[in-house]
Amino acid sequence: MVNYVCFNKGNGKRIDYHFWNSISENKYEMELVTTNEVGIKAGDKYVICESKSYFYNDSKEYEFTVHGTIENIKLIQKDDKLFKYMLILDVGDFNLTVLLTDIMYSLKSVYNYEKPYLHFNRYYRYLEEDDYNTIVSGNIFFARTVFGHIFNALPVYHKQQYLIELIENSGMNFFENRDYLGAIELLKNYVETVIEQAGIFLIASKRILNELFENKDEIAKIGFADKEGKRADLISVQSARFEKLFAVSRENNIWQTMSSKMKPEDKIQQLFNKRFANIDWPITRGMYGPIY
Amino acid sequence: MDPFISAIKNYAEELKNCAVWHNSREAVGCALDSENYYIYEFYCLMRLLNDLNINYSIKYEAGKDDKRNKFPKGPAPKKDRPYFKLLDKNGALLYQICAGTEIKVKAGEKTDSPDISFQLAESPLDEPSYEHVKLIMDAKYSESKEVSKGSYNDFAMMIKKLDLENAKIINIKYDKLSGVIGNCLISNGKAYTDDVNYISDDALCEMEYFNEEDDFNIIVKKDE
Repeated sequence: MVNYVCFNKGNGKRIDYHFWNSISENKYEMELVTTNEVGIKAGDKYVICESKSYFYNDSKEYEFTVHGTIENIKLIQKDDKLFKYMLILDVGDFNLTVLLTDIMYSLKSVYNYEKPYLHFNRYYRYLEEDDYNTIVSGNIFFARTVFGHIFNALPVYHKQQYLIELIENSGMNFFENRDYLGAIELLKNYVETVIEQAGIFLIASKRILNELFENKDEIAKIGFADKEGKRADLISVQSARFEKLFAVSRENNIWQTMSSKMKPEDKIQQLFNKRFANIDWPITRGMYGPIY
Repeated sequence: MDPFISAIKNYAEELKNCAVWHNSREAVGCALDSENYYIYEFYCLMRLLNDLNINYSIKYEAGKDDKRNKFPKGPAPKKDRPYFKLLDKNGALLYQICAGTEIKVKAGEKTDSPDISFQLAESPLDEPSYEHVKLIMDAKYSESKEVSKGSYNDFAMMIKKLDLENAKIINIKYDKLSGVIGNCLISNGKAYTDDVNYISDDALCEMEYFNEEDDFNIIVKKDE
């Protein structure tokens, strides 16, 4: 049986380490030091991920860059604690450019959506065949990806309100079904009527304030605050954020493009749907709390 | 990789910044806790002022200290909060227009907090009572786009408690909003009822579909 392995080519914090040298055009040798014996063997498939940059939440971004076949693996040194292997890697494709955050909602092995890089932090890990093929092909499970990115961008309060609607009013059996298209439809409706609509009102309010009053410095400081007048939220600042959101949404025609990507007759999407039928919804509490 | 994926990630990043306030980190939304519509309420106030600006002039009073320029997110005492002055074209102060101010009701010690209140020029800047208030408006945002019976009754009761059943004698010269007479229940979607006798009995008029997309409609009983 073929194993599928993901090697992390970066700085590790464990004693596992490796180096990677070109020995001919399509062949590389790699040293792998581990604390336990590995089950990797010749003929296994591998993919390499590299630390790329920082993405949101200060979480690291990984990129899958190379994949191919392991041509040979030899245990070259062994002492009390360490196993040192030398691998010969056949490089199939050098031009893989798949970002982990692009593909994470299409991978069964990812469930930490805030810090997905933690799943690939070790020098090597085994992958399921499905996940390996997804990475190498760059195929995306569009519905789950759209749902995951948008849902997980919301603060806890909105997540809760949306989920209550989804569970109580959508007619979907939330715990049994993974109807991502239905869930997205409801999510779109929630975002538009509750969040984006607030932005439309804020932008209009800012416009009128600026039309009515001369003193622009004072007007820019108008906002809302709690009973004590603490933690003021300024209309000018938040409406500027919404203007940016609407610009991104218009520019990319987000919601319309979405439906064209998620045609029910698409074979790849059907396959993903089947594969993820028993995998949990990609929902996570997130960092904003406690209630709002 | 499909450019649509980076577009979605971009959109999600911007949405993340929008969905919580930049400073308090509280959620931003039109209908929070089902009774918290302060963003829509403020928008309604702005549209009202914009309309009144044609026949009157409007002055902004910023308030002071910690509460300067800070409108309340919910019912709050008037003290130190910002408000607007409605002046005639000669500069004489006609009304104070306040947002979310707590007002002492006619009987008993409780207060009511209409979203918008027209208060007399001499209304005190700390604790106004029903005697200082001449006309009130309330704004209801509903995702389902229809004012509920409960919301309607809350406003009708507020009018009674603040003794404002005569608010229609106050003559305000609106421009595009002409048609609004007396106390007004404003909503983003459909009004609770279009039965003018029913609402007249509660001394109010309704303004429905009041938002950026639709043309609003005023439901009011005209005097014979």
